[in-house]
Amino acid sequence: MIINMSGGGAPGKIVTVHVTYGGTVGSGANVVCTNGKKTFNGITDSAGNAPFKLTKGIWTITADKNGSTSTVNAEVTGDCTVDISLFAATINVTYPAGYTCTATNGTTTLTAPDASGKWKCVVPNAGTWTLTAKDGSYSVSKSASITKNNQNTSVTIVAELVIFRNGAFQNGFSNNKIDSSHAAFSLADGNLVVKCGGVSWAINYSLCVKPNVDITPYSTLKFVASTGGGNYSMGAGDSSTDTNYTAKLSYSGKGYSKTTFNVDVGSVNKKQYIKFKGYEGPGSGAVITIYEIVLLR
Amino acid sequence: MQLYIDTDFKCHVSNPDGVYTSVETDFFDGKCQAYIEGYRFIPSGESWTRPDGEVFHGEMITPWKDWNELDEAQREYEREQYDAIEAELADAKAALELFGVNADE
Repeated sequence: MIINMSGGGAPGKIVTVHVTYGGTVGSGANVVCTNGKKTFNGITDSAGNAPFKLTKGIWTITADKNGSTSTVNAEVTGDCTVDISLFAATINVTYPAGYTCTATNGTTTLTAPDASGKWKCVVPNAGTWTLTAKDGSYSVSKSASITKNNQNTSVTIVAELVIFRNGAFQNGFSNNKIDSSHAAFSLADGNLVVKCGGVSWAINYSLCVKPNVDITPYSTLKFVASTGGGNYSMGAGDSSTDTNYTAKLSYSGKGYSKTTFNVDVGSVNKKQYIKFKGYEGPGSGAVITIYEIVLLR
Repeated sequence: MQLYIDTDFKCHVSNPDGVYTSVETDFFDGKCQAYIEGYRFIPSGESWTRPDGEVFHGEMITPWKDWNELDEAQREYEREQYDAIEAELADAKAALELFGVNADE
């Protein structure tokens, strides 16, 4: 596109390049004006302006700042102002302190300046940006969708592997019942639920998550659940067809409303199946609900 | 199985100085000493704080040594058990053959 710029004034026209960046003043932007024969460089001032004295004719004017670039073709016929808008959006990233953090859209990769755990990441393009926090060989990612200039959004990266949360198995995991007892966990009310009410026989139920998962990067296996007053165990084990454990938490005789149960798995450095097993006596009326299953680093 | 835990909830198969706490569990049935003593046992009603500050409540049974080391020790123990049984069977067979009994019939 060629922009016609006209106005009065002497030969060698004053062309003021005015840059905005992310919808605000674009100070400190590099500006290059060229007509194929001559090239002029400048940097915008605190008002976002960079003045040039250019002869009449077609000029290609490019502004860039922090990787955000835009070019216009302007036909200079007199003193004029050329407006250039540079794209900039901000992703406020929170990540585990001590980790490195990067943002990429597949073409451009940006790196957090430190390992403080807080990064105001300014991206030069719209699109999907993947934020990755890394500690040695372990990494965890989250994405942010940028759709408009001057967008401001926040992303929090937690060093965890979510197995079940918000009513759904995540990251490729699914439910697999271990034994052939009367009841099994089913998705109800947005969670994993077993209802033991109204039956005259004892209820055994067991949950085994498939596939198995390498526990090595993680130190804690967390369940958030509400249970009845029967016998319960939860943890990690080798087999998907039994309820034996490598590491487990167990309790009996007390019901819990929505509670966090943690199992230390810091020394379980291998692939394991995540399991949950319970037993309730006849007609107990208990409703067992699992809200979350998460591996924490 | 009766075993013992110290003040850090680490398991022991014996209590020579009488300072450990006795606990009962079938979790370690068939396991060798090296395997058992690589575990922690936090009894019901008690809690243990991991060095990073995370608190865990009993009853929890979990390795404190790299489980792969414990597994290697257990496999070695089972190999020794197997070899011992093989040796006993060989002795028994030899004894029977002295009496003219063919142990394979």
